[in-house]
Amino acid sequence: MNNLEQEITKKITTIIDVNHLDVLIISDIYNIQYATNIKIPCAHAQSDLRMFALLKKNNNPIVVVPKCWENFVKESNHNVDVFAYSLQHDQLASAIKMVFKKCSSAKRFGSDDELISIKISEMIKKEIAALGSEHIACADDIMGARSTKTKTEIKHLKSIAMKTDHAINGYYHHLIADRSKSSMSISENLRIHSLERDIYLEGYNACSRGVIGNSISNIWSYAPKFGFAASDFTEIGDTIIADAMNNENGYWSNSTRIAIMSEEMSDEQEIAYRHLVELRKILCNSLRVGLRCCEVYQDVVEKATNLGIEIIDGHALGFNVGVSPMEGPFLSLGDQTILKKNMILILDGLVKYKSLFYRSRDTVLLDIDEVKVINDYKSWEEPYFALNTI
Amino acid sequence: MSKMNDILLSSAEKQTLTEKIENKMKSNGYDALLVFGSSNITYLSGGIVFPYLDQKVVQPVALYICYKTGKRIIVCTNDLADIPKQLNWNGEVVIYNLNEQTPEASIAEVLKNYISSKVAIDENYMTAAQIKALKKSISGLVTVSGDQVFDDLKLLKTDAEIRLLEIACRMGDRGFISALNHSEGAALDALSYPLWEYAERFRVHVGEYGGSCVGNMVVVQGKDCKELYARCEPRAVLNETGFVRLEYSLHNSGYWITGSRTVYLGQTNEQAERAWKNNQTLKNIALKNLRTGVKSSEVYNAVKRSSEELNIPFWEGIDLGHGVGTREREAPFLAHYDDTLITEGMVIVLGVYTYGNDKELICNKDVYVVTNDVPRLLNWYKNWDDLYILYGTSARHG
Repeated sequence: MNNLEQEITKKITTIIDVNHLDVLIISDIYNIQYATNIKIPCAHAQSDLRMFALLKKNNNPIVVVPKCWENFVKESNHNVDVFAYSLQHDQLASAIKMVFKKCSSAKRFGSDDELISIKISEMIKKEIAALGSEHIACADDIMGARSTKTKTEIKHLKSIAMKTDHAINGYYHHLIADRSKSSMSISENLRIHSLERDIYLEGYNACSRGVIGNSISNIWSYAPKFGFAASDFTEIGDTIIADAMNNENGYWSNSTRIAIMSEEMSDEQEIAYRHLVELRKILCNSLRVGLRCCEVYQDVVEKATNLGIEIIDGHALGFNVGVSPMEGPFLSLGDQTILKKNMILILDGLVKYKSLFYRSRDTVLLDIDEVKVINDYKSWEEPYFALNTI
Repeated sequence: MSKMNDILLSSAEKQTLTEKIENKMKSNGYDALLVFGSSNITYLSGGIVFPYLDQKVVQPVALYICYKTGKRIIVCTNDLADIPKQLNWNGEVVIYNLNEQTPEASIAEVLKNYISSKVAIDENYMTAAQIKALKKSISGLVTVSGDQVFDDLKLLKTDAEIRLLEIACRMGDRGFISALNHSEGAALDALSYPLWEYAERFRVHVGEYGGSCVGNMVVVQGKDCKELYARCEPRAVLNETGFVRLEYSLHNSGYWITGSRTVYLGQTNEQAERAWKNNQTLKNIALKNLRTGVKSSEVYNAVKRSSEELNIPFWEGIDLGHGVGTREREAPFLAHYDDTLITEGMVIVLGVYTYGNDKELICNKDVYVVTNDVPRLLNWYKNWDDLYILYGTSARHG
């Protein structure tokens, strides 16, 4: 086992011990990746094909997959025991049958079934009941484990966060104010510049997109072309808001940065960007290990309001990142989760100014007495300014 | 505007689709529905697409429709609220704030103001945590599974849905050809061509030709080609003479297709050509059997029989095809276990994985709409009957 696998195994073992489990059944795709390092590229989209992981103390993880994914999974991790089910009329029934065949003697079953479909959850509970065994809900335990990062996870997340910022900056370097760019071209080039830095090839949620000019009046402009943006062209002085989500070693970055198609900002852009910088400062000053997410949220909202910063009502000011690009806890009014050391949060700076939305997302590592921004390839005290011409 | 550039459902087309849905729901005794799955939201709303819902990159979205009251509501967080408007949604948009401990509880607290009667839900998508939150917020909530009705509805496409899928096919083929065109200039020269760039060129060109998003994207060459999927190492380049396969999916305005295209890197040989011909032989047998009134399993069984008779083995680890629509993989399945009758209006992706000389999996998928005559090919943009040779040593031209 490599360092990451050892660290995660230790965390999973703690969950098993604390709950006195004989076996932990994991069904959520992200949780499976977390616990076993196995990731099927299309698993979220081809959800009739189901994968499960069974974890027992001091045993290799068991992974149950459809036959068509068997070899890929075996190649992905040699430290798991893989069992494949043939595709039948009811794939789910075939999978569940195989899962319980592998743990039929267990008396206490942990499960993360709250995170998956009602249908699967009910099937799992029914099988456990049929065995006369006990069902222990463990979704919160696993999400809790995921929310504080291990040493290797921090290393991976720092790397991908910084690479993404580098990639965004690497693309922005090509901007020249008097040479118009389409939002589509920005989207493509953000991804290309990311891939050039050895990030992993990803489809689906490997979002990269550039929203420009007055189109930033919608947060998700250019529907339904979220994957590519559209044929909207920059003009001199336009704001560009670039989103990029990248994956490396199974861990995600989730970043947004602003460029201006000029060597200086307009008065409106100055104010809006200053609000973003101030919001970042307020957030970093408010985040403290031991505080609840909702307390940070309320504190930030109050301070931002006092400074005349218009933030979006009810919008979370941040969230966790890890094996998925967005996960709890959320810096929101309702989330009571206590902030802990080694959480890595995306601070979702989003402000409205004169009907336009400006966004800049920082990634921060939470330590006992420090909030460290880990995606600052350059200082974002100012946006990226394009050259006026060459 | 060329009909191939008309990438959204028109108002009339939406009306036709939503009437079909409403009639089916009513005939099954359902007065209201509440769904959370991305595929169901897009389908049942008549074309509203949200970004990255399946991957949970945004907070949950719910679609509630009550056929008794005529209420049509999309419930989402503030950041997504402009999307329905952009896509001409004719119902309400209700925003929920993250005021509760979890997003599931937060959305349930808003939905309680709208849901009173029995609702059909998508148990195949909605999470156990979500239904728990809903039941806590809405006293007396009665739910029934609507999954079977939703799946039955999706089996047969309207003309407009077929049109969107046909456009998606053209986007995919043009994207793939562009990836080939970019890589063949440098595939075999000293500069080489990164494997990721081959896949990425597909992705960006799908976007340039109007696509909404690319999903699956796996490129395999050499020994990796023996598996359905393999990880693309960041520094890998196209450098192994032999088969190269790209697995992909993409959508046009919420309508997904999947694909698999195999080409040959370098000078081909007789064995490779024979392997390709064998693949085409089995695929054409499948196509010949894809007729209305035939069971899906019979298509599979016909290929299996022919495989034995002709001594052309094929990979039996997966079906020979499946439906496509607002999900990239839906019923019917061309597999031994599926007895669904093939019916006019189904849109099916078809491809057989056969073996190359070194046991590589080779496949060439196409999408067809079933008609009462022969199936109509939707991937008509380029003919792939002959093995495509990826060959080039010129200086990189961009």
